[in-house]
Amino acid sequence: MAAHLIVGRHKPISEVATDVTPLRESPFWYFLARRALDRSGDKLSRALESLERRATELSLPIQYPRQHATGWAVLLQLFEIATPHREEMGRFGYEMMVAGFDRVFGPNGFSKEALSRLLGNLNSPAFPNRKREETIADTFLANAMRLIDPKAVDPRLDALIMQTCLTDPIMCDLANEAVRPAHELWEATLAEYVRRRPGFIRRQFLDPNSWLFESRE
Amino acid sequence: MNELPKATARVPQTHQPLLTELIRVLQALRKNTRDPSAFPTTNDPLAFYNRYIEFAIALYLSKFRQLYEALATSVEAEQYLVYAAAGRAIIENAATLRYYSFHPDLFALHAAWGTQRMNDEVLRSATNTLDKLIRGNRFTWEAFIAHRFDDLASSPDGNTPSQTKVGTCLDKWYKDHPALRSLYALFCDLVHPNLGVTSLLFG
Repeated sequence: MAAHLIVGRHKPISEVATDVTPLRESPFWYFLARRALDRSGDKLSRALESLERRATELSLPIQYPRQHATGWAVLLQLFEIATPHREEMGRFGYEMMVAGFDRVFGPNGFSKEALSRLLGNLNSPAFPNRKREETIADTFLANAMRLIDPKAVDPRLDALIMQTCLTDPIMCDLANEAVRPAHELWEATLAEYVRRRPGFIRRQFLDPNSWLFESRE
Repeated sequence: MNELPKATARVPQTHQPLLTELIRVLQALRKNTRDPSAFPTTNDPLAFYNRYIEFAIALYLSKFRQLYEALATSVEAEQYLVYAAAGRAIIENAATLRYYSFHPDLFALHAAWGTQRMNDEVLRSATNTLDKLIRGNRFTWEAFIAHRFDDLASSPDGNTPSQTKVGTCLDKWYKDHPALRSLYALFCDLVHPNLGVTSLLFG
């Protein structure tokens, strides 16, 4: 077999495509989501506090509960980070992405449902002429909110609350801030994952925490 | 130090060279499987092809090492069913590696390289042939990994290529070495639920 190695140069030949990539492995997406969540910290907290302050100024009876809103914000950030790589991922990579995210974000099935809603909104934005980034921010504003006291709010006001929220420029700016991804996270995480990546059996059947997060020399 | 002391004490003098040879093979495999080889991920076509060759060599060395280790351990422990299973797998893997080592697509690349006949298609065919050796399969691996157990079937899914039947690889080898056919048949009978395995365990 070694005799088949080729040496020397030849005219340029078109690139080859390989579908063997960490993007098709759920532990990679788990690793990425954990790191994104761990690093979201102060910046996201400030954005959520500001959103609630602004909602109060607009007399909106809503809040952005930390755990729930953080899950939405980080998931939408991850979607943005992953989007440039969707061709390389393919359908199977997408399944693995959702499986990896599912280990981080609860409840079970949240990631799939959230991404489905986002894709639905991107296909059919809430307002005409909404740009892609704006639709992602809209998705966050609409889904990460909760009524402070659902019993105290007339359900007929839901549409008005939503419209006020989605059309207020300050709310939109803050939502943009919340869902803006840290693009440097991708390269750093990919490199670290490749460095740590064990063989198939360990990847598939062992707890990924044992090889993704333990310190290594 | 003798790696197989019990087997050495057990087998007659006439068979000692076989044990010596087994230990020699094992030592060579251990020596040559020290360095891991990563699956190639470069998009440069020639680099990819060469890395794939190196990966294939590393993969088969590792396979043979595990199989020979199992063979040696089973001889030492007198677990002859394990011995037969490992032996049969060694023959099948050797036949497959041999089949691909003589594959016309790989020779065509060598013949065309540096000539006017060289083009994308020649390199792509050679790379696809290697891909079949490494990733060929008859199982829905993507469905399995994604836990879509209702979709499991005996055909490849996703973009992975279908395997070359081991029988095809063996047939090719039989043409050069006809005696191999009966050796393989013996190992099959030792593994299948036939007289062979009955003899191994309760003969």
